[in-house]
Amino acid sequence: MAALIEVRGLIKEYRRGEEGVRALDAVDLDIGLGEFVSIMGPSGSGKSTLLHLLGGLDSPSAGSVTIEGNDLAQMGDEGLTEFRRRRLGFVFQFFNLLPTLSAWENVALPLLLDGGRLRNLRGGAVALLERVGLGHRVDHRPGELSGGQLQRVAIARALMADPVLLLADEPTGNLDSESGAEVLQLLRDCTRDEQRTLVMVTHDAGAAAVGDRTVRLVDGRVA
Amino acid sequence: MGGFAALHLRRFGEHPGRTVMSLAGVAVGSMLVVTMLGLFGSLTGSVRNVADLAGGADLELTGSTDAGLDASLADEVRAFPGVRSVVAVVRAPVAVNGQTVLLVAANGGSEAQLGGIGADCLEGTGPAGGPPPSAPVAIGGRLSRALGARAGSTVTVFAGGRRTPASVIGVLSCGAATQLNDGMFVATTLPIADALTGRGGRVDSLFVTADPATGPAALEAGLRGSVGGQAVVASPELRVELAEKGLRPLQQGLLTAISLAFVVAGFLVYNTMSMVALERRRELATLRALGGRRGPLLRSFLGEAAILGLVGSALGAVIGVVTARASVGKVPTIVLDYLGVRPTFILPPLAVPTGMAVATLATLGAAFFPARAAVRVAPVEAMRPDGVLETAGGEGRTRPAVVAIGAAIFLGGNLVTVLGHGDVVMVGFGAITLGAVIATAGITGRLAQGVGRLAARFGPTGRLAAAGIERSPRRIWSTTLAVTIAVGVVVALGGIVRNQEQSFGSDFASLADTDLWVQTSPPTTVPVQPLLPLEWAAEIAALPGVRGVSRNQAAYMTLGDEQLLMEGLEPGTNVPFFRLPGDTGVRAAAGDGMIASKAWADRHGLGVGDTVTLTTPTGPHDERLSALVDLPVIVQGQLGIDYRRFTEWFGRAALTGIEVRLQPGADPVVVRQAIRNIVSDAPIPVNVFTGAEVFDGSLQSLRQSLAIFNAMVWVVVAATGLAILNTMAISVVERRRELGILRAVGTSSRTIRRMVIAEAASITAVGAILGAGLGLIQHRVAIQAMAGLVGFTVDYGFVVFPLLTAGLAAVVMTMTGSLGPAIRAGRVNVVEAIGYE
Repeated sequence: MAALIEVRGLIKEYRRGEEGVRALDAVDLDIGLGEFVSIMGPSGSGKSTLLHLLGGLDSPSAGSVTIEGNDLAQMGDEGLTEFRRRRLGFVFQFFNLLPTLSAWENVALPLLLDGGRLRNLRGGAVALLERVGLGHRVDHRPGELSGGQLQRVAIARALMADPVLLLADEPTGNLDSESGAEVLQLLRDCTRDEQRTLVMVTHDAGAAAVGDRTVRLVDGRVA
Repeated sequence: MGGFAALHLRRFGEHPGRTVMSLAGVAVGSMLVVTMLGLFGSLTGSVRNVADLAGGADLELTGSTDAGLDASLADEVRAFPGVRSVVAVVRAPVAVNGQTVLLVAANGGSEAQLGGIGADCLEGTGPAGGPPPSAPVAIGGRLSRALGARAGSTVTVFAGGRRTPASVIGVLSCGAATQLNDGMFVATTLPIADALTGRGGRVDSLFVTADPATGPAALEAGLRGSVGGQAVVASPELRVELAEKGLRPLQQGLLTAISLAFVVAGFLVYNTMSMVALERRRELATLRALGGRRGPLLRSFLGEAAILGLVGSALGAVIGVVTARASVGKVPTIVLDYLGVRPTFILPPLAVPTGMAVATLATLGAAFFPARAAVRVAPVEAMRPDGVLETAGGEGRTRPAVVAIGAAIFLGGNLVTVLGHGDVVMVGFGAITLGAVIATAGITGRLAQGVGRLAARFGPTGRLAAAGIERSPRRIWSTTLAVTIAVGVVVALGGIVRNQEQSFGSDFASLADTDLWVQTSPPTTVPVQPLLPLEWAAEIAALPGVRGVSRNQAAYMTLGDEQLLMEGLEPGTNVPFFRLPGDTGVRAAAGDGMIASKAWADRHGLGVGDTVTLTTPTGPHDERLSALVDLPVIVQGQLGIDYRRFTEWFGRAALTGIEVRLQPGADPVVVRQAIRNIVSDAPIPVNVFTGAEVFDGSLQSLRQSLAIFNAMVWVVVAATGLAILNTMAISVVERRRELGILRAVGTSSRTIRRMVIAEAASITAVGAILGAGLGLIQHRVAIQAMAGLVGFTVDYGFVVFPLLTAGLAAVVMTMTGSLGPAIRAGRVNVVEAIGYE
């Protein structure tokens, strides 16, 4: 079966003053549809950089990232923006919810950015919140929610546009163990039940074990 | 993105203090625009109300001065081919029970409706039965209230040295009547008006309607050829055009001050939007990561700015209407004299929309660059941990091209100001400030370094402040520039005003050489109306202690499409216009030649020896220019001849003032009282001033004219204080995490407060130094350009006082802007500040 994601010879270099730092060093990787892949590695190994490149949030110094047959390097800013909006979902370590929006409004955000009308999106957003166990908190603002609840709102938001790929950056990094376990289970269910691919960056071996396989990065290379 | 844009509106409630400050900045700009438009609209609109007495006439024939036209001219004009109708109108200032009002009268008939004021406006009638009223008049509503007079009352009209009782037959108080001379008028028929004023049948205007077959243009040309030597032939609009011309220098000055206020308000909005962009950086990155496009995000951001602009400008417009109404009552007397009307508050329909539009557009302009920078945030920043807010990349780099462009505009502005004339000078003056703003925009990093180095001199707290300063070059630049502009305005305007006062003082010092002045007007204006009886001159000359008198006449006259001050004086006068080197002035006062203001002569390419033709009621008169005088004048120019010819040519056998010379050793107090006894039974106040009082009054007149600029300067300073307050509040928020860490490691609240004050003081100090330099340059070039701008030369002199005032302003701005944020910074909650989301 063809891979959903194909990474070939991916290199990313940063300049820090006079020095050049190679965060990723010729990474090759295939990830199939419906797979839950965890990316682990010590600090500075390049795991977050890999996630950024998979999500089209940054551009590689060399190599390619192809998702659903689309080479991200060939897309301009507009193309990448649209791709992220319609085909990807993000779950951030720090939740990144808009503080002035309620829970359901935050969930509706991806489709709102796609031109949807807010009042038409409420039903779908509320349904997703109910799915993640927050049906009783739809009108609450982020300031009124716990860390675990915030991350569940973020997961609902990531699912709103029915993406083919979810990218999660340390989704349990700011949560207690119980909340973290709930979030991981939720992510697991989203991928298994809906044939959705999930790539998760984590430094927690226990969290990584929830996935189908683990890719270890050391010094920018796949170990 | 409509729903998303609407969600943005919730932002305004997040930081109410910041929102209020931004609204205040925008409101100031809108208020100033509406005030200016309301003030000038009221002045020109009041003149137009008088012009509209024509009721739609095509042409107006007037006398060149208030001496008017011979009534027989009306018959001559009626008989002219192409004339359909002629309405003769009297429109003269008279005194009624001590109040100076406008007397209006027209020949009777349906065509004589005075600009919509007709019999249906009349309230009340005279008592039933009894003898017919002598000298029946109708009065305006405001006059009725001022005198307590109504139908059946008797009032005394004083005009042309005559005192005549008149019977009030009613009060005219309909819409148009309330705006005619602000309701301070007396209306009657032409014969009654003539009897009240003793003008021997003279009228002020002939309103002519053209035959459609001829047309106004052809008729105008024809009449000008026929009667142009005796009357000014022009559209009724000329009166309004002359008023607008006369107000132009004042308007230009106000526009300059308003522009500066907008620049400061613009920096306020720029700072606020920059802070908003910085605060929402991660949020914007998230939206970009989720697939939000730059265009819609930018439009949402600008939508916020537009709402800020609309609400702030609406608030400012409301305040502006109030201040415009108040300022109408504060117009200097000398301005009202040449306008010839008592102004009514008239708000032009476009005043409020214009004020709101300008302020809103300025807000959008100021918000555009921070908004554009904000939506260019890299989506990957959404992945970064919360913490110290990062500045945009490359914010502090030096941009030589920008510096070069700014420097070119700065230098070009200086050249244009010094070498240009008229409106171009104002553009050049503005370019000096604009060039400074652009040039410094290219060195924001270096400027921030400079401010930081100064802050570091305040010791450890200053070094802490310096770290924050150097990290935010754009914020530091915009705030420093706001201070620069405010201080520059204080220094420049202070220097210009001082130099004007000094030049004015030396130019008009001769006024103090006359022992006593007798006139109806205050010493702050040139006396033109009401006229004094001729016999008073002889009575005063016969008083013990009086060595001699000089009779004076002055009137505003129309020559071509300009309004000039015409004076007729006698030998022995100390009026500055005639106090010339050699005997030129003495000879002109004795009937040899005519003196003209240099600016007017230069504008018309005239020099000494050239001949000027004056249009007078007694026909055209040619006179040779014997001298050109470089003195400030309130209208477009000034002419002076001897008193005898003035009286003969303009048919104005009266006085506007009497100069009294005392015998050596005479007691001026005694003589002054004796003169007061002579004039005491006049129905209007007649003043007897000493020479020193008249001289002081002339200086006061200058200060009155400049008072509004002084007020504007302090508005700009206040807005700058607000800008500093805003930027320091931003600084505290920006460095919240850093402040928390400092407190966590043991820095005292007091040190934190001092750090904030050190930052504010450094910004203000650098801004004040740059502003002093800018102000000194602007002062110098403005004085150089004065002749080309206002028509007279002012001598430049370095003045220290404005620099001291600017220093005081800088201290006020620092304290205003830093105390609140300093206190807030000292109270930062350590746990919250260093905690994660």
